[in-house]
Amino acid sequence: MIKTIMPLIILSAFAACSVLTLQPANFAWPIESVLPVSDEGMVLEERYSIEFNAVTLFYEEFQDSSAYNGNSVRMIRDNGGYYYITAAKFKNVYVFRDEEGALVLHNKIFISEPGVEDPAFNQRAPYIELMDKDKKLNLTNEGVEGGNK
Amino acid sequence: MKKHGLVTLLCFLLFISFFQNSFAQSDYEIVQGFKNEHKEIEQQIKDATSLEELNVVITSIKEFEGKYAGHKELLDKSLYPDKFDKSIQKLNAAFALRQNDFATIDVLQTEVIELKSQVDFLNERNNELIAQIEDLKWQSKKDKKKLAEYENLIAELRASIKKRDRLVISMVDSLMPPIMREKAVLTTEDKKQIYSDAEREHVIDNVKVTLRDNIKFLEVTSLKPNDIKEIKKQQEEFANTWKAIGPKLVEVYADKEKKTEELLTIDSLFTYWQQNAVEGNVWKSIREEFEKNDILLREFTNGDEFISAVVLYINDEIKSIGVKSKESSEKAYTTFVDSTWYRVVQPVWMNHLIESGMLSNDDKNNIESDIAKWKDTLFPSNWWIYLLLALVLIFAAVIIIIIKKRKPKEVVSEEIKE
Repeated sequence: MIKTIMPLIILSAFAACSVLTLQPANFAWPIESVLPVSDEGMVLEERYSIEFNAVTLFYEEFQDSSAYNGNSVRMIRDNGGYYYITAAKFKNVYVFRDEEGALVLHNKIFISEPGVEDPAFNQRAPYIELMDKDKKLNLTNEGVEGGNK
Repeated sequence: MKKHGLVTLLCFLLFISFFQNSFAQSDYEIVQGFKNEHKEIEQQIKDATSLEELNVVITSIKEFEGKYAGHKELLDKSLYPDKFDKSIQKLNAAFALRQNDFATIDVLQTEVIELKSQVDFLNERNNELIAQIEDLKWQSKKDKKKLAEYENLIAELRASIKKRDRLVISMVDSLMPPIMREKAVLTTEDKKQIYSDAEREHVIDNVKVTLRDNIKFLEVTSLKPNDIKEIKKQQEEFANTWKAIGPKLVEVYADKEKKTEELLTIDSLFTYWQQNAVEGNVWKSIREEFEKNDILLREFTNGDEFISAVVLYINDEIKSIGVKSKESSEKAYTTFVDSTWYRVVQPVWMNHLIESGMLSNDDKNNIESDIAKWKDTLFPSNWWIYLLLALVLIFAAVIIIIIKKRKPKEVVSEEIKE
């Protein structure tokens, strides 16, 4: 009797603990957004209703908290919902994940020592393509496809 | 042979590098390029000033569609809220709409040409009618047949002027299509177009002739308050059209000094027609009502002059009572008060005069109290004679009663004596 009841109890306990999940979901933006940084350091993407403060990002990149002044960032989201952000002269592409009231760094992908000159993202699912003039790199949230991770 | 092969290879490599470069464009740049070119074509459609210019744009739309057809998938995903096909449709719709505008302008221009010939005919006819009316005006006062003819001519002229006014208003209206009126600033092309149309159809001259004829009409005719109301309506209609077109015409003629003067003439003619001519006609019509009954008042052209002319006439008549025969004074009173003032001036004109601010209620009351004074002087009341007679009768009755009461006492005293 106990042998019959126990598996049932264990099964129902599992069912109660599992989280409702909607799958598959695709978060990809068809094209990147080019977003100016305001005087207060805020970046606003109107179409997807995202706003965040970019001061810390510029500080992280240049160790200069005023570097955001007059700059703009390029941003795109991949299938999995990761945000890729970079800007002219950045050495890295920053990959973020959203959490409650914040964008949290997931990965910092090194691109080149002199930094990108004229970067642009393209959606090339499952990758995000980073272009800089004629150079192209396929990125995932883990790093450069076939390169450093 | 080897050399030839090398050149071919070089050309191929060059072609590949060019192809790669064209691929080096980011998705964002493609979408932005599409949006910018879309905007440019929209602007070209808006700015086109002729059908020929517009027809060039249709080629641009086709080239634009062909250029971006290869990026349809990207554009469908990226354009928001429209997609690629919808964006092209919008351009085609804007093109068709503008094409329709030009078709309307063409129709309007044809209409203007037809209107011009009608206006010319009516201008000539109105001149003839005005001349005939002026001839008949004096004859009609003596001859009843001529009076009927005169009145018919006036009615004919009124209808003819009204018809011509409508034509001129339509002409001015069609000079500038609504899309042009809405523009804050006219382009050089717009100005050229309006200028050549206005010159070809003599619009400025026709507006001037219309205003002058309307002023002349008011000068040669006598109207009733209902006619005046109709004229005011007509003036409002003209004012509305002129308000919409006039300032734009001033802009068009800004560098033509003589024409600018003509526009100013139109403004002053219109002001005169609106303010002085109508009021002048009202006073003239009222004066003629008095003249019909052979009452000659001093000349008046405004409210103050009218009051003093009437008051002066009444006072003169009051003064002449006793100087001229009673019959003559009474006739003057009846003609002025009963046949003119209370029969025509008061019932027909007084409301209009007060409503349009040409006279006040106090002015009217003052004149009527003068009329009452005139009546009292001419027909003095005999109430005091009746009062005197009544007093005499009462006195006589009292005496009779006293006498009657005294008689029996005297008889009694005589009886006692006996």
